[in-house]
Amino acid sequence: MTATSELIPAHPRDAMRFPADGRRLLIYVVYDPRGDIEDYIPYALTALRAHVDHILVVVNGALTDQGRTKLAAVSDELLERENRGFDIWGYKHGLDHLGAQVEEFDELIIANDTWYGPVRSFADVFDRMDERAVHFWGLTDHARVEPHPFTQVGYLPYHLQSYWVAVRKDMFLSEEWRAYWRDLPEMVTYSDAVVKHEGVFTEHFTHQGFVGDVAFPLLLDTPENYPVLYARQLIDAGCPTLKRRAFFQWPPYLDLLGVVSRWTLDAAEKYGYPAELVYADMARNVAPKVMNTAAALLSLLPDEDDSYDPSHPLRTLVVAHIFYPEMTHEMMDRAEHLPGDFDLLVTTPNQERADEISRHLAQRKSRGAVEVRVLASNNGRDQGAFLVGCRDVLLDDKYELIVKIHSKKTPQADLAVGAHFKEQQFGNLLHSPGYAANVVALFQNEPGLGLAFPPTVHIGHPTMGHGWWQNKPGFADWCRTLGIRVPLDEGSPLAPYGSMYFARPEALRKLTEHEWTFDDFGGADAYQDGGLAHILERMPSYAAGELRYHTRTIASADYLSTSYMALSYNFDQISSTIPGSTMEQIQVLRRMGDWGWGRTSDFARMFLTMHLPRFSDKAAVVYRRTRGMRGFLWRLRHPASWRRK
Amino acid sequence: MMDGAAKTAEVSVVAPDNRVVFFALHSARSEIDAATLYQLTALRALARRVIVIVEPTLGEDQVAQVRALVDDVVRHSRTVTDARAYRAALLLTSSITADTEVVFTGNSWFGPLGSFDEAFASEVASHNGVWRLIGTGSGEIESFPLEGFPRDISPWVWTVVRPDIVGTSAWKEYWSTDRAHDERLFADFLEKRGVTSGVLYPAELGPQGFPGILAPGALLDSGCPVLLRAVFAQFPPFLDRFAVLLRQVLATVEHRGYPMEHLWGAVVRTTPPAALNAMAGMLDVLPDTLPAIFNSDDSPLKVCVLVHMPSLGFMDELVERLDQIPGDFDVVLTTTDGRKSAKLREMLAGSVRSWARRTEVRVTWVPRGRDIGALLIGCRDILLSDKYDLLIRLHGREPRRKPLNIREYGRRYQLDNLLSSAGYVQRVFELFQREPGLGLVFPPQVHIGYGTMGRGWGKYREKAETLAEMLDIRVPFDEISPLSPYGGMWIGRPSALRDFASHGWTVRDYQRRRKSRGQERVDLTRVQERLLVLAAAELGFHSRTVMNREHAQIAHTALEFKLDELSMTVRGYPVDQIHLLRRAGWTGKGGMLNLARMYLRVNHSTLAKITEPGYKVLRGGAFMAHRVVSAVRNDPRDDEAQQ
Repeated sequence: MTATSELIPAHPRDAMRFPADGRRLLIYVVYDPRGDIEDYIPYALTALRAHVDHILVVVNGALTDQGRTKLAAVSDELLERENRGFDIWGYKHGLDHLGAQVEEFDELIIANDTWYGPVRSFADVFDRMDERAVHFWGLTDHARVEPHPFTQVGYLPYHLQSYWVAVRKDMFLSEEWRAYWRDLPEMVTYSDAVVKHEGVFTEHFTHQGFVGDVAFPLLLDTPENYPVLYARQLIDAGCPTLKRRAFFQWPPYLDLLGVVSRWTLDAAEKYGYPAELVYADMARNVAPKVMNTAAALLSLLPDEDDSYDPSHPLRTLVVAHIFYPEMTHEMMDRAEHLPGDFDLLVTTPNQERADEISRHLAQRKSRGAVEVRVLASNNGRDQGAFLVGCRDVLLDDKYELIVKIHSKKTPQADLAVGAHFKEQQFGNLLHSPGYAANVVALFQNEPGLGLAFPPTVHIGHPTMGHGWWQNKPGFADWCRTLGIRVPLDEGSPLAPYGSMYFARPEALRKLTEHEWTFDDFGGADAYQDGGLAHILERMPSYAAGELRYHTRTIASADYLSTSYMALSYNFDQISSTIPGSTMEQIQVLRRMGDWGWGRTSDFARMFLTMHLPRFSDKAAVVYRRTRGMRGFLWRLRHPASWRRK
Repeated sequence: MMDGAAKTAEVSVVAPDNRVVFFALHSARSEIDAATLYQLTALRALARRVIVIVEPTLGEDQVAQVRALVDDVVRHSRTVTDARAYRAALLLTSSITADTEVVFTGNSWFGPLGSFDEAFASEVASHNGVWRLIGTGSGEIESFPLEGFPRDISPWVWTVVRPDIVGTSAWKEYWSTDRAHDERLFADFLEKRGVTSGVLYPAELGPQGFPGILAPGALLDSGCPVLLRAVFAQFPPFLDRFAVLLRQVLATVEHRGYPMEHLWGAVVRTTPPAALNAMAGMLDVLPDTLPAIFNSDDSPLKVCVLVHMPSLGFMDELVERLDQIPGDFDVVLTTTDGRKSAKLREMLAGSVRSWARRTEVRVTWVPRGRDIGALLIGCRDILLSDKYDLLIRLHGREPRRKPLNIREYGRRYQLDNLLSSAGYVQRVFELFQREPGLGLVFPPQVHIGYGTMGRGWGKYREKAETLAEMLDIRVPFDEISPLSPYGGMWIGRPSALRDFASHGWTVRDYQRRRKSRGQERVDLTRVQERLLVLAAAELGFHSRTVMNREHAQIAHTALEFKLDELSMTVRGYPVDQIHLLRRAGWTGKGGMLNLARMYLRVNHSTLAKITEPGYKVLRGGAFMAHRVVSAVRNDPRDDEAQQ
């Protein structure tokens, strides 16, 4: 038996064990911005059902029908309320709603939805805690911190973490308990929730003689938030809950502290928790690039097939937009690396090309149905061809897997760069027969996998830090139009740059259901940054995420070696003049703002941003208005410019 | 390009009997490498006479090696990278008659890859009075002196003057005076005087007009018989900018039958190791499966595992890891005192592992020597002997001050990436079997949880330079972070570390000397760790990094994310981003002083130089003021102590 000294009052009141035939009540507070309810919630509540006699779910915000149905199936009562006061006021709402009804129960659990579980057994925890003669208990705790990290004055008391607190009858029928909830202050910010409730609740009651306990006391002798930072070690210790925050914290922060969330997820999986619940939730609620990093969803695939199951082939369609018919054979050589049969749908902008392609295809042995379509327009290039020209097939349920490729010519001017991009695409999608089989196997093994494509190309391309280019505002607009609410990445988006990928057609529904026309894309002059084709190029992972499908990046060992060494060297170089950890370096650069070309005006702007932020807007106006004057002064200083005109 | 040549009716290839080769031998290190000797051997068969021009600093013993291969050696009075070197040789050579074809070349390339026959038979060669193999633009290729990559200078690549031009007035006029010309200027000079001139691989084939450097892959693919050494003198992000992927290029070179050990042996001594590893993509992500064709009896490597065990807690993990090593091996354990060694012996006696019976336990008392002191002093005899082909260096040292996650990640990163599984280790062994010049293999520089990126040298550079001088290591240093087994674990050949080990390190070397005022305390072990790769390179051994799949997946996603976020506010290609930040210099936290200095450095470099001392005074003052204020406030001082 262990006890945490901070939970032992100086003058403890008598406390009881949980009675053998005791009844338990759960108030579970949910916040879901969409109101659809992710599947990890019913999974958790179903598991808790064995230990709890009454489940009251309080929803902060509105539910959709889908969400209501899901929750109704796993709860006894369901309340929807205005999203105000965080989970804390949700608990209060539940308590107020139940009123005297709580008297029927011996233990009350107030918990929220910020965790996945059960990863380990709830039964073990209940069995253990039932034996303890206490008034209240939690799953995890937090050490005292001084000064208070939120207010910088006083201290943050030792406390049980508020995502799970169980309270026994003696306490929840007490006057002190009633008074606590009656006098609960307003909570507007996240800081309020910690300062005014989570941080003080434990101390408030232990000071009044109530005896507390904690199932998984401080893992380390540091005040770190171990349920997030040491989630893996915590579930190894038997904790049934796994905080979601462990997977959506800013990666450079977790990185700084050596947290490898991939290993946490591996551990959870090892204990039998279905990883697809985590993936589905993250796909919807975490920016895709953050998710790709947090869960290390990069699959380095070997050339020897070590995972494909030929007894469960996927109905596959290769969609190939061929603008350069002479590349037909080259593309088909790659496509034929796919295991098993596949249908082929070729799109091309005119009949002449179609005939040539058909001639080429006739020389090859097909592995399924072949169709060559002549498009009404080449607007939007491969994007238009795919979304307008193949819409009927993409919406059809006939296929389980789509492989989207297109003819990619390398411009003579930058031969090596073009050749690298082409190889980066085809080589990381269809490296060899074994490799392609392994890619298909990823889809066989993970029903929630929506997309697989090569990592962001960066050799010979200025994509690092600039993956959005001018496309982000237009991207956000289109997301609203298409009903995509997946958070957008701050840095570069996770996207199939180059527009070639493996996808499950259902995962692309948000894109394919929209009735695109060639006119939407505009002509050749519209094919530029900020244009629709470039916006849509970046959208697949976000569209798939909205439907709970996640993305993996895939790479061959050969590509990864080259890519890694380049990234690593550049990282070493670029970080050499900035102090602190990588996280701090990123923050310093972010605060300084855009470096532009390092000109006087750029440094002036950085100076204002850093040191006179109040004036930076005004300065920008002044800068714009004085353009003529500055030009005059410049010409004055550069006599050579007088001669012109 | 080559195809056209064969169709030409009037191809007239000059017989080797009429050809004289002038070969400029340049070496910043004043030595001759095997790649140069290989060139000379090949050229000897192509010409009646081969005349080598050497630099004044080249030793007589080195010259003797050349003399054995060629007809004549001329010693020039300066570096041999322009026309003056060839003139010096021409003046001393009497055998240039009017029916002689003259080739001007030098050790500026690796090759021949295949033969020069096609080049000689090409239309360009047969239709022009003077022809060059690879063209260069009229401008200069970008260089990055600030980043440690100044403009490379090397001898002429390949200029051929046909017999009918040799001895003409234009020819005589050119050589009548000293000119610091490159081969393009030479050809231009003759062209202006009516000599037809051609280039087999013209400048337009490559970015910035330098196909030899910025499009070597395309040249090789179209049959070019040389790979320029200058490629290895470029700033790696600059090569990235043009997608010059040397990993692929070198695979082609090897495929053409070139003895790669000559190439590695040469570049490893002249290119900073981390830069070389980056540009040549010298990371191998190895699978855990056993190789398909695997015969363990096929000349197995003699392996010894050297383990330092300051604490016995490492034993279980060690046993598990050693189980991943295929075949037989010996083990030597070092520990810090007799009580521990007795316990270790006891543990080993109870073990069923066959290696346990052969394990030697040594007590190695090297205070402050960490793991490397125990290696260099405690295992000196093994490092110096020829008994083993390979050493596997492991240790159970834990960085106590780091948080648990970082300690765990760090250990797994080291051990997983060296001893992931039997298949993995077998593949590492194969790397060594395939490349006799491979010296060391270890995981790449860690970046999760550790802050060495961007400051790998830290405060150790100065001492490392002193030590390198003492050990006669002349391989150029990387500017930012050295390539180094930072975790102290690696697999390597004892012969690669021979010079380093034979230095005669003593326990006293590791003892901390009293710190004199204003001088930073520098830990010798960390300096030594950072010199291992350089020491191996000095002996001609290159190093590779290895990772298993799992770690590669984790580390690549993390790296990409971090670099992306770091690059967000700076424009252009990585090379532009790096260059702007490097020019700006230390950002500090973006304070007024630092911003002003950055502004000056980028926009008014002269002014920046003038004001630099003032900046230092101001910064020193600000730092002192901060210290005083902290002392008055009684803030806790940063703990400077090393773990």
